[in-house]
Amino acid sequence: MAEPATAWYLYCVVGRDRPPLERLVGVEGAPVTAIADGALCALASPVPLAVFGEAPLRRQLEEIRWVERVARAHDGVLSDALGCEAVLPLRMCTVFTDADRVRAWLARERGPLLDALGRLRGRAEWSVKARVDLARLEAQIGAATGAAPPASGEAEVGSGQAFFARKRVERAVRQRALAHVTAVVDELHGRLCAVASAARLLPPQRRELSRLPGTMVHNGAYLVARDRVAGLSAVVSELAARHHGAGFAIDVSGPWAPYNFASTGATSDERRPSASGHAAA
Amino acid sequence: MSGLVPSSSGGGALGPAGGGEGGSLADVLERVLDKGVVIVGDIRVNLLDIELLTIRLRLLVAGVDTARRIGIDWWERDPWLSGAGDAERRDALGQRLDRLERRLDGGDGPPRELERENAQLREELDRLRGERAREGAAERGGGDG
Repeated sequence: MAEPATAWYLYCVVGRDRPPLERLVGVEGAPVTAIADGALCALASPVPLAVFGEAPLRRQLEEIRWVERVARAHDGVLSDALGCEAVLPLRMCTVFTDADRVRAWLARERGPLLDALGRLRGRAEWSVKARVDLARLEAQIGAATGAAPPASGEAEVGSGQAFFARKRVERAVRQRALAHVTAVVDELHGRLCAVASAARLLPPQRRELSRLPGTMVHNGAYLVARDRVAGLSAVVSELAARHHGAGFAIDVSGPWAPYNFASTGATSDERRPSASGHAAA
Repeated sequence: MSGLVPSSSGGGALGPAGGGEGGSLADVLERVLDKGVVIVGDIRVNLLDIELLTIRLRLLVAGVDTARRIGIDWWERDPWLSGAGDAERRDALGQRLDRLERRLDGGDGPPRELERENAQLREELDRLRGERAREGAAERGGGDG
């Protein structure tokens, strides 16, 4: 048998409740279709094997612009699919050569897939990131504790004693600032965990990566039921308002497909320990 | 400046994420890359490829001067790559990445050098991939046929 020219790129698994497929545009602009087996259905779109075959794909993954396009298309389909009851995201660039093999996989993994969908039903992922303007926070703490504002420039070549005294004050202020940040972040995460079904801490993005002002001090993913989103919003609004003056900003985005909460007992990569192990209750 | 300006829909008001459709490149990649259920499809692009890719993306996105902090720091903490038994290979890869970074740091170093280094990295990965494939096959007990 000749090699087929196209393959199926899989985005996610959904249950009986499927999104309207006409709206969905997949990787490289291809239409998205449903490959179903019983109650389970994989959303997929055709992709050329010349690009998504094993060897070419490996090369393509070196091209950041290509990766970005695929990632955005992947994300776009999952976002559009969020309207349905539950969406189980699959790893980017999951490719099958044949729809029958997709159905066979759905049939084989029916139990774990249904379990995972059940766990995710009516829930979506929200990203909450907190940033702080450390200089501002330190200035405030310095002012509040009566510490002299840090002298700018080397105008005061004064005595070495004064220099060390100032250093000591700066260090104390910095410690207080860090303690303050920790307290704010702990409260934020704690209260979000109370609203969320599950949470996961991600490494804060460096400023060069986020391209946002301030230092990112919290980067959390939260799995939140639809009827609790208002609760999430309330926590963020309250804490953002309370800590804004001290230099904090809280960024919320969502709803997203539950990328960080996608796992099934049987089909996930069992050898890989949960990547961001801080799953919270 | 009066506090930080929220980036997207932050600061309290919830809504669809801003920053363009799907958010910034960093956000999209953070969300999508190395997330989601891993299944053995027909096209087997080893996970390690994806992992290495994320390192590179971070290097690229972050800019050269912070590559070390971002890339290596993240990479060393990755529980999958730093899993038991992988330590030596990880170190070897790390040194190679270090060299790559230094080249990058040196500005537009000779591209041939980079290419060669890249090729060496590939070889190393191919070797690792081979080992992983064998381990994987052993664990799957020969697969499902």
